[in-house]
Amino acid sequence: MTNQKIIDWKIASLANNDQSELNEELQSYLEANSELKAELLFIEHFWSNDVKPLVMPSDKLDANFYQMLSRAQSSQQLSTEKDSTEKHKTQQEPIKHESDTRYDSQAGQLSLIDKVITWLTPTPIAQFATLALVFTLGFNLNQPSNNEDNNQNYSGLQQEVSSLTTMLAMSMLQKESASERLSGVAYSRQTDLSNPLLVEQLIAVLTRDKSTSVRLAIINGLSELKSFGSSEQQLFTLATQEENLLVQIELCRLLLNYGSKKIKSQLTEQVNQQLLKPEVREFIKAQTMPLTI
Amino acid sequence: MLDEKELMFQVKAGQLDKLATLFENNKVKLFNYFLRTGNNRALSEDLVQETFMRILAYRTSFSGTSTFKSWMYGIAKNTVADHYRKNKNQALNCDMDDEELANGQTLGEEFETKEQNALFNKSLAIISPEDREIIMLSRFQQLNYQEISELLDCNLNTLKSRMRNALSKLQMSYQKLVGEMH
Repeated sequence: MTNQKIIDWKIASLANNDQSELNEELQSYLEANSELKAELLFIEHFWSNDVKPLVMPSDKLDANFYQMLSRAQSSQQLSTEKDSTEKHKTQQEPIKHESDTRYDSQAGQLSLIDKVITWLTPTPIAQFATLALVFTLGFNLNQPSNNEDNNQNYSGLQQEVSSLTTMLAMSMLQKESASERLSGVAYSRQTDLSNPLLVEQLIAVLTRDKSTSVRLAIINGLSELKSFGSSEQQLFTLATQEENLLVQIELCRLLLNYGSKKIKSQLTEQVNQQLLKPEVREFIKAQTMPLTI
Repeated sequence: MLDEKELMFQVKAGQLDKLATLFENNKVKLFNYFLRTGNNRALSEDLVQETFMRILAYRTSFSGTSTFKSWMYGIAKNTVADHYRKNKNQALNCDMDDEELANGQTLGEEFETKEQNALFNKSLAIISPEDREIIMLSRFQQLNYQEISELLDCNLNTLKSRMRNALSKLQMSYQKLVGEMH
């Protein structure tokens, strides 16, 4: 029993679960027991010896995982859309004799609520910033001043919150941990991506980041850009030279869906000249193929 | 920063993107867990993938009574067991530590780090899979006793005595190997 106690203590202290010292009674028991001492020495040796350094898995594991996750997210989205369509149908039944304008305004309200919920969901800092904005707006609106002043204050506050979020996103994107960089991407999506420095940094992280999830999140976020502008050519170069198949396909999807006509024809040209991987060529062909009914 | 249990609850609630953070946090350790249980690289990667597929599929069964790690290793353990049940002819531990064991030169006269690694690895390969599993979960996967006992579904005291037995068997096989060398 005492032996067990001492061994448990040893393992706990080696695993950093227990930093306490052995009490005097157990210490003297240990001193007198050479077999137990040898056992402890072996355990210590085994625990502190770096038996085998961690082996890194290949990029294929990442690619397979994110493919699986993306498929799961798509099917989740599809089922949500299906559910909401069914809900709409059932909601539509009793009001089908009412005017279309009412239906439109109801749909508009729903999407606005959805947007507010999505906006409020993220991290505590964003929630705090939102609360602070709501509080200040409420306070200012109660002040007896003219509408112009209020509007100016409101847009000033909006700009302030947006620039704070941009700063937060830029700082998070520089972090070492992939999950923190993912938070940075999430923050960047709360801005309207109007800050060229933030877009530049997002593209820089997309070019060199080791984590596929961060890169895919950035590509997803870039789809919210109104126009790629001067970054379009950079994204095109990245899309043609990318080694990670999943990232390459997603980059092509981004450019095909939101890029200029010129970029789309450049991509098609790459396909025609067989300069891309066969999987990517297949993907682009399938995307650009006209729909036949 | 959210803890893993919280993240898993968010996955359960439908925020599937949170699974990416859990994957990034655990993929290397889980991959090495499969490697250390005697699977080759390709199979270990497949098993990590399969484990996360199951996590996604069974997300609604996560109750949070145990930590995410012990729940994940429980799924990982079942994934391996199912794999070998389906492929009965495939022997487990077929290529464990091949690179070290194949090379006789690493068992040198002086116990330097490399040689010791080879000895510890060989000792681990000799003991029973059950004993090896307890040691690995504690030493390499850094699960605490509470987590291991939840994972193996046994009480804490039983686990402690199983751990001691496993360690003394490891020590015996280690000493035997050292004896063979001299």
